[in-house]
Amino acid sequence: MLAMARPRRYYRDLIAQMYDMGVRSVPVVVLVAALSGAVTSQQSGYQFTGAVPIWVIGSVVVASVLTELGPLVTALVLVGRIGARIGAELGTMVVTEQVDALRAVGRDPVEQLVVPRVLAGTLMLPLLVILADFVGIGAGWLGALLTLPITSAEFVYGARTYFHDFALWFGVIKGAVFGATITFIGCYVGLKATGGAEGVGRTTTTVVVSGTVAVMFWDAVLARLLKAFG
Amino acid sequence: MIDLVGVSKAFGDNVVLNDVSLHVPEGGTTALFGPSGTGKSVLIKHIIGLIEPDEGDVVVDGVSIPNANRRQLSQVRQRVGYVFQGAALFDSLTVSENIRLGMDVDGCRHAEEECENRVAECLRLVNLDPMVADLYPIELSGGMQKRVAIARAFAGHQRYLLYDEPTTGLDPLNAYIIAKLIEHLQDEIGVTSIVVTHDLENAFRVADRVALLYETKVRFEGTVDDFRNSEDPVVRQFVDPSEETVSVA
Repeated sequence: MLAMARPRRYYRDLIAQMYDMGVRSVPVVVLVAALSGAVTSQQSGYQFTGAVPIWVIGSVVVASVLTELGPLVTALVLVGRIGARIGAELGTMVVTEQVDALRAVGRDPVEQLVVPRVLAGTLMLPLLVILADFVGIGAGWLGALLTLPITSAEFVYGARTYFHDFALWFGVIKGAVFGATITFIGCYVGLKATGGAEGVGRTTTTVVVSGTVAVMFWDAVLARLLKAFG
Repeated sequence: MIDLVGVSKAFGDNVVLNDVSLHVPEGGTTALFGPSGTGKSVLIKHIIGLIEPDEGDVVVDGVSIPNANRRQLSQVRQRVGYVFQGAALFDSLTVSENIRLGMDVDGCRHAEEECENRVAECLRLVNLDPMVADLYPIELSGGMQKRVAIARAFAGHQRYLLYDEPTTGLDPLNAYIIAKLIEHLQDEIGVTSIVVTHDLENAFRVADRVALLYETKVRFEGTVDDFRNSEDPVVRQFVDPSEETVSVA
């Protein structure tokens, strides 16, 4: 907390990290979200046709994307793109004594390296989740229209039947928690790196594995939140 | 003034320093010799609190480093420049930004022009063209990186400079240039320096005092002349490595 108290010292890094984590992640997030939405509508259509009213596909796509696929798929993709990058970057800085050099010039590595990354992840992941929600629902809608016997009116009816505000907020809350978790693990494991190139490689693997497990863990814990307030 | 008093440090079962005491007087340059792996780098990292001693005390300008709070430690670190063995430049920053990091904790508190002038002055003192200011460390040779690391270490008008094997890994010409640079900085800005090195020839050029770390303890501490004339067989091995002085199993 003390390390966050002097934003003048890290705001430039914060902006750079927000750009890297946010803007540069857009293409991969859009691609994965679109595929997730399209696959969800296809799977629902395959299983529901003839069994339940076709408009239910709209409900399923919106519910799945907002509460689960949007935040979770975005986070899992970013464990690799952001978490692994942070782990490798900080791990390399440790083994090449750059972190010691920071301390040597009187700087706090937590303030300089950890705070901007964790803050950037916490702020940018929710925005990426919102983007993934829009793209996922759009792709699910389009996929349904192109391949299933459903009209736009039916899809929208199904979507509206399910939709409630908290589902949107829930995805955003999940995004913030996942963002903080991924970046914190990347920083923590990276700063604990030892050895040379092998150590950095080990760091990257640890970040991806533990980041994935942590995201899944939070997903399960936060599901209780949806049940309580949703 | 820097004083290490009864410093002991072990990593697991590996005892690196055992009751080491060393006095570094104000002004001048102390060369710290010793075989590879005897803990010379570990010793000087204690001075800025990068490593904490298991026992003993390290005092810099009256501040006990192991007992210093964050603020005191930060203040001491701003008075002590450290040149890392591998230069340890921040590869995501330009040469100019690297040097600015050494100026003060908030980077450049002064006007932009003043900062640029200080960067240019630091580059001049280490014999580098001002044009390199906008380059990244990866674009520099090993010798140039070492010089930038030295510039970063004294950019904030530090009173002490600690050099961790500044000539290791450099060709003889670049090693000579770095040694001349250390000597030149000593004359021009008058800092107190500790140079960890294996390079006796260049060390004798820049140092006025010598300490020899051997088998976890300080074996010798004194002037360069005393070191050269010492009758201690261990010291003789370093001063004049030959078949008579070195016993090879």
